[in-house]
Amino acid sequence: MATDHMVGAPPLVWPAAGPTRVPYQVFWDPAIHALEQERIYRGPTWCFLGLEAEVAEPKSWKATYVGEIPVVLARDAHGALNAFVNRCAHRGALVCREPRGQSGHLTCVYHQWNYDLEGRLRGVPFQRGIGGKGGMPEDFRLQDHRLEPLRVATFAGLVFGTFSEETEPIEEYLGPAMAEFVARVFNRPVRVLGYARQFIRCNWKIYLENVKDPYHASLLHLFFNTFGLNRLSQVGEVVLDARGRHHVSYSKRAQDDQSRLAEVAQANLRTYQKGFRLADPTLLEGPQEYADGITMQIQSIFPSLIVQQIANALAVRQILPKGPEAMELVWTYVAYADDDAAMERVRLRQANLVGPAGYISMEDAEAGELVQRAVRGELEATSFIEMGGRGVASSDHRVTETSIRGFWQEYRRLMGF
Amino acid sequence: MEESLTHAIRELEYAYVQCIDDDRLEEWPSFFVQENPRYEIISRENWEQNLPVAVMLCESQGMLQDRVVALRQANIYAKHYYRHLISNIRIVESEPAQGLWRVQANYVVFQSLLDGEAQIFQVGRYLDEVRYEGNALKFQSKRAIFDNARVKTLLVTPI
Ligand code: FES
Ligand SMILES: [Fe+2]
Repeated sequence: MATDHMVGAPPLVWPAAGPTRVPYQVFWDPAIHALEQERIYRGPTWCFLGLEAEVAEPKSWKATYVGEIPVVLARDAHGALNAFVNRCAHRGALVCREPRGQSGHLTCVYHQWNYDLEGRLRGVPFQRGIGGKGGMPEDFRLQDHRLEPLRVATFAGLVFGTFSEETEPIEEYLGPAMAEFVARVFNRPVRVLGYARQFIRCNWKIYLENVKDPYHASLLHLFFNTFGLNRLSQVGEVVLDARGRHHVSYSKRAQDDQSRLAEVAQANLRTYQKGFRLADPTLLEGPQEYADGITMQIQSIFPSLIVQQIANALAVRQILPKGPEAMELVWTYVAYADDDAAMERVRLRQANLVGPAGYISMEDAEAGELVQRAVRGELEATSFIEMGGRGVASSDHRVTETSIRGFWQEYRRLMGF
Repeated sequence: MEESLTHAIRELEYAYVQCIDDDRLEEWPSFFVQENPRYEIISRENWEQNLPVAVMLCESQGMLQDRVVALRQANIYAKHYYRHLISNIRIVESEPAQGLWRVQANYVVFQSLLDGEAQIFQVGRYLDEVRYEGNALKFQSKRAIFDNARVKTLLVTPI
């Protein structure tokens, strides 16, 4: 795992207090960022590549990234899914230059090296030169060159890729609890309703901490409380996988727990002082779709995927680092393939809750940038992550940062910090 | 008649963006008709693939008003100023029988933050449907289709 020949080990000593303290240096140091590409994104992790529904047809492909490495996900003529690095084996140009497409083969525009949808090199112009002059050396073989492959695995219509031979099978990687939560949202075929791309000027781990943080939900996002749509008192849980690297936080519509309600009221939060009402509450109207009564599920699959059900708004979010101090968040909104027009309209309306202009999500980008601006260049200070204790375990309430500690525990393990 | 209609439509488009740039957002819903107005900000990426998800979607006067109340009372974001430039305003289709005109215009929105820098926040075009309500021209629908699909940080103020 630790590969000393790659990048000099950055000067980082993790505090003795473990995952309750995170040195701010990990959020801006370019050396640490480079090491993450090697140890996390090229390491034993499954990174989200896309939905099967995005490459449903044979010979269709999409361009994406694993960490900062450009990658293509393609369905070949036989219907098999393949993934490979989107970097020409000749002199390194991007081969797929558009976000998606459909073609039986891929040609690099620079010198027209030609690849099939398994990433194998099929042809090189002027291989034997022109008029007996030039051309490749005698020992040149097409099969010695190809686009670097990734292993591919699918689960419930989600496609993942890994560079490492050591990564366990996807079901094992997810673990039974996480697999069940993914499968409850992706319980039948989906179709893509659209995308949103959000460029956030913060380190990718700051955003992931935010996703794993149920503590902030009712404090930073004031929409529900402002309009008297109180969700704080709903029952909910945080569930981790055995290793603590993935998480799910969910809440259910249930009888309000009276003691909790009272505590919240006593806390006299700014969130309770308003008294506005939605002029048009049809924004939030929609059926209870799931027998388990769960109205909100936010799930993170280490290191790059978020699966979301917020009422009837279904989406996956992919986290793409763009240098140590920026990231792109790609939202892919879905409907079930069997949704009728009325149900699709419900989802499109509720899409107002999430995304870059989401009533209950826009603040996450703001919070991430506030952290980035304050930690830049810091070599000594650390954060303090002890809400809900110091351990890493599932929790029957959501006033906890346990899933953030779980993330850092896994991060340290992979990074060798 | 043609001249004055063209003029009135231009005035509507100019007044609309000025209302936003002046931060008189409480007046913003009044640029739309009372009955079944529609407002949408959608990326060109989605629009050209017939993918319906919008970044922002309002389907009634109430939803327009709720966006403004949320922006003022609930949402948290960095203080910012918008400056719209709008050009190439053209009537692309008329349906006189229904009293409806389809109007297209190009726009650029610059956003200035408190760090003193301006950035191009959105580049795109409006596809609007305009009709008279009483004596006043209003938007039956307004669709902002933006070319630069990556939203910088977040979008809270309408385009
Ligand atoms: S770099 Fe691709 S063909 Fe030369
Ligand atoms: Fe959040």
